[in-house]
Amino acid sequence: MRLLRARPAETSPGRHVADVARDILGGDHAGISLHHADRFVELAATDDVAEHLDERQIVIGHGPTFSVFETGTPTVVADTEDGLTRVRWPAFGPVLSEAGIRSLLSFPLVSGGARVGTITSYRRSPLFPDPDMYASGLILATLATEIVLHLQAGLTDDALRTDFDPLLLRNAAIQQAAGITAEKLAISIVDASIRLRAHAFATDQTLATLAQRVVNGETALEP
Amino acid sequence: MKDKRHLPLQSDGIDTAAIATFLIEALDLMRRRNDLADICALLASRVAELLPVETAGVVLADDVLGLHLAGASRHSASARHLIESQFTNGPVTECLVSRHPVSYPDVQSSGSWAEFASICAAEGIHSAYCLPVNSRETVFGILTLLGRAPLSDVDLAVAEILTDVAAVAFLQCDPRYVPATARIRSTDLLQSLDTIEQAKGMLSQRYGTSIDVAYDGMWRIGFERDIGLARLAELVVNRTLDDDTATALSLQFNRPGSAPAE
Repeated sequence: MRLLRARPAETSPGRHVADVARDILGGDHAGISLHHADRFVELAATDDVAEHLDERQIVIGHGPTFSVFETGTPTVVADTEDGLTRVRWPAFGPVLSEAGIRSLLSFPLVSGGARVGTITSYRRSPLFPDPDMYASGLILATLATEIVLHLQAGLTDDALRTDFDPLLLRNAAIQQAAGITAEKLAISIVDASIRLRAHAFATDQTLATLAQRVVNGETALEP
Repeated sequence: MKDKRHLPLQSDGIDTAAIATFLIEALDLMRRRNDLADICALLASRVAELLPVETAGVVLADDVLGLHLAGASRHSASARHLIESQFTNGPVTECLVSRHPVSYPDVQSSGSWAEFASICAAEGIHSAYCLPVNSRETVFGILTLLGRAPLSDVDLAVAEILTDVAAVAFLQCDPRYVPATARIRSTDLLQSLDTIEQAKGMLSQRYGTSIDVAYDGMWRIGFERDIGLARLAELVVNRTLDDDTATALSLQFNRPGSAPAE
């Protein structure tokens, strides 16, 4: 959390999350892909290598980004030269080899039952992550999801800073409000989460305050 | 409060059948699936049925993730506030630090936790108890009990049995408990809890019920159909319920006595 907060002024929020992911997960490169309107798009990458690897997956249509998103669980490849990687991802396996990648860790970005995207760390040497690193990846993915939702809502750093602390305390009303809004507007939980954040910002209230009003029936978002 | 109690099974007022039912339910859940969300929900729900308390909550404790409400007998904002207000200052933190049961038969006159005491007073709560869900030195969580009157020794002995069962469930999920793997489970559990909250919101909107009623309906259908609360919530959120379960949920919320939203 401390690392995520300490963003250099010249670095975009998405790029900063990718940088932090790369460092926490012991990688050399990292990228974030979002799932929107039934397809993946790249959000941010630490460098050209990560950007290329994420982009190739989107073009090919398989790879860790797809596996993680479909299963909702992390993917760990400790050594890409184990022979299994090319069986698992026949087209993407060679792309990894050409880029000199020997291991990867990929985590789903999820908000409750809603899948937002994936974050993947690539490394030039084999890596067998220990439970601490794996647990850190899960926590990072949770925090990164919140940042991504804010970015998708078009919000500023100030809004993120205001909403971050209550969210870390897990505000049940925010999740309930997302469910109420998704049902009322017949949209996905992800879209409802983004709409709530944008509305909170536009009406100059914290996300937690707006969420409680939605739950209490005092406010409802319009289509 | 003493460290360890022994339940006088012959005492008046003990519903041994209800306790046995809880044990069977908990063991059955453990046998069928390692789902902490269900275990925490079951513990909170049954303890509130067995004991004269207004609100029961199961709080998950993790040194990195912090304290999180993992199961509650009531789901209104005020009920959550009563429990979550103890996360920074209150009997829950005291219990977590001491790793021993904490007892406040009269919160307001205890002279402790002034802010929490005033929140309790506003809600008509006068007694507060916390029991660690633990195994030796490891505290997995806290059971917090809030009531209008003090609990008896027998009540507390019953609560202790239920927390012991919950501790076994936690160990069942992770027999060789180490903090990092526990954190992985906790992270999963928190995601499940978020999904359950989202599903509660969707169902309350769909059927025009309160959040509490939405939760009760989900819990009942999940239990009856052996789906599991978290899995059922995921199906609701992703709108992938099969027709049978969707119909069962609809009937659940439309049956007589299903309270509308307040």
